[in-house]
Amino acid sequence: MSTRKDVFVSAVVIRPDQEHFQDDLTALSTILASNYLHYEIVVINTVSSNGVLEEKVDAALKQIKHIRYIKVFNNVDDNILFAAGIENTIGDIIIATYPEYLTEHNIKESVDLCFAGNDVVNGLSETKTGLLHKISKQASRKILSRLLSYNIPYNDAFFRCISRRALNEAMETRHFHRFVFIRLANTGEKQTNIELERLRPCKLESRRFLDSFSRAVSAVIFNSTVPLRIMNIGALLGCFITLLIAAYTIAIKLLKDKVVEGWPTLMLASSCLFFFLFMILTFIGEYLIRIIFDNNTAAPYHVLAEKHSSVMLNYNELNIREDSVSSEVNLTQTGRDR
Amino acid sequence: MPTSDTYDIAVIGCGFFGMNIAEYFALRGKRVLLLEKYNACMTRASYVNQARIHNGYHYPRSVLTAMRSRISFPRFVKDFPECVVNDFSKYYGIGKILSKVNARQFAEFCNRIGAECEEAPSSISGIFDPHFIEKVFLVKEYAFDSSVLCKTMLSRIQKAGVELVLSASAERVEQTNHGLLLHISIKDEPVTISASHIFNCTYSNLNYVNHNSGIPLIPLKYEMTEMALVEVPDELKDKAFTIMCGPFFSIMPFPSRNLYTLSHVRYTPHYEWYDQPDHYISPLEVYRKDKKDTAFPEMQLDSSRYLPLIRQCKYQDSLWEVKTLLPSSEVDDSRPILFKMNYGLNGYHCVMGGKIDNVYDIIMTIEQNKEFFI
Repeated sequence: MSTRKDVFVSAVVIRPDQEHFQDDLTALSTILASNYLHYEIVVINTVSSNGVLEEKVDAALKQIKHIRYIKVFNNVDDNILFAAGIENTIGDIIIATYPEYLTEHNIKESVDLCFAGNDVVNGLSETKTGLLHKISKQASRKILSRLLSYNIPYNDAFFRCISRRALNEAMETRHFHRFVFIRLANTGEKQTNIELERLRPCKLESRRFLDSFSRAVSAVIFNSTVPLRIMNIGALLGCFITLLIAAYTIAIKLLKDKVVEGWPTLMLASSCLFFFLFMILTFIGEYLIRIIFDNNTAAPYHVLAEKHSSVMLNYNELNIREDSVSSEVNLTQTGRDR
Repeated sequence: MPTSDTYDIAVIGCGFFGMNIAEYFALRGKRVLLLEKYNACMTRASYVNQARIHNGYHYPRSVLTAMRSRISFPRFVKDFPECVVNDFSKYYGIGKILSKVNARQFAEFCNRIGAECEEAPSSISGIFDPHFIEKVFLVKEYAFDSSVLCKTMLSRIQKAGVELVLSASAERVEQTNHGLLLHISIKDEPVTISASHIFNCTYSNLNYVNHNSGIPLIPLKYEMTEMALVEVPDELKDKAFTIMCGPFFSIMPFPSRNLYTLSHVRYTPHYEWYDQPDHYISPLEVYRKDKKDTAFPEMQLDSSRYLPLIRQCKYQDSLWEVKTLLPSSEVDDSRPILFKMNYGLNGYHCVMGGKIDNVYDIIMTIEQNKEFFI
């Protein structure tokens, strides 16, 4: 009797490594074939990246089974590639990540955790990064946790193992592609974390402060109106201060004959007002960007082409079982009333 | 009455699976006895179903069941052309709320298993409520006339030389030094025959012989199910619809009664139970005692939310059956065939299949086992 889990696992490889393409996919195929009765490998890449050569892809499709290779037009963000990859799967459990994280340990452990009822499994990994980046990531994660209930540890990697039902829930939300990780974290389903191993250092994970900062700001602006409200309060406060200064100026003018010494006060007041003014303008600008995005009906990504393995299905497997019950229960099952 | 007391193969249950297995061995020179409890063949589960020749569409969450249906479809259509009914158009609608797959996933799944699937014309999708239905697809799926299928199979088993005995209830199996003994009750008269191999193909009654023979019960799930038989309005004639993938419904021609069946995932099963190791509940007894109060009003009310024309369907009758499922199928609504070889006794095999058109898988599995031909 087979010891492989009776489940369909989709493994999404985002931006495959050109140098290790064949080895990575062969190893991945072996891991999946040894552990699961049904599987597919979805490789997703952009045209404009220094990605995989077409010859390597074509060769792999002939030699390795159950692969789909999706080429996406335009140099889209990795988050959108991630969302596009998982959106195009048909498995019950979906693993999506960079190729460096597709080790047997990561795959098996995350699928086991999914089976145990965790609909979203977040991969954690410590990467060498600058102090500024580390601090900014920790700070931004605290803010996101407060404002968006995004409670994933700051050292989360570009790795998720998701159940079909969590994915379907997340796909129903707005801006799913742009904020796929936030949407997955906010499905309301049970989540857990695992420590990841790596095949080799991951070149694609960003360690730049600016990337981290801009993503955090974008996430807050698109998903929360709290900063706008704070700015509104600030604007009100600014107005109040302006009134006070105006009152003070009038009072000085009425009470004193010489007002030349008011110059420092005038400078201070002007600086405060301009500070508030520009802060408000910045956030109004970000919200204007959001309105523009919302009105943009273009698709978040466009598939240029899709190819697949010569062999996609195992036609020799018969639909016969020796046992009427399973030895393992999939707690993220999508049975009739679950 | 059996003409002999010794056979190579005894098959209990003259449903479609039992008849095919009996024919298979008879064509290979085996002496085959086929027993049926009732006085006609294919009167229970082989008759009480939606008469659908599956082409894979129905199982988006079980690729294996879908694929085997897809592979079996052309073979079944070729083997039984006289019973195939394809004078209607078949559509699959994808539910918006409560569905476990979306339209994109369904289309991708059809593409994966090589099943034809195109978007339905607006004249069809327009009859659905867009609030509840995401998309409608035109597919290739047929129905079969079970009375014609039964006649075909009877003719085939007769030609193959299978000995058929009706009104014969298999009671228990016993192992002796010389092989297996099968104790039968034929019109209350006890008869015993011996056979090298016995196939129990009695579907919901599978555990009856096991229980009487002191063999552990196979864990099975049972549902008391009802399919409503209805007359449809003109707008729905020559069309069939199945809504996927959740607590939805299906309305299809039922050729042997010249009506349509309406089946609903939520209301077709009236109640369920499981076999308990220490307490066997006879499904036939449950079936016999059930009051059989129709749930057609509920089926119609819910289905008409998706397809308003169903409000105009007129109820005619209901088909009742004890549907039998594997507990392991709860996860993904798969429909594999259960095949337990040498179960409890050497030479005693239990077969439980839920899809008529998947019968080829069990034949292939038997073919691969040399012990049947020693």
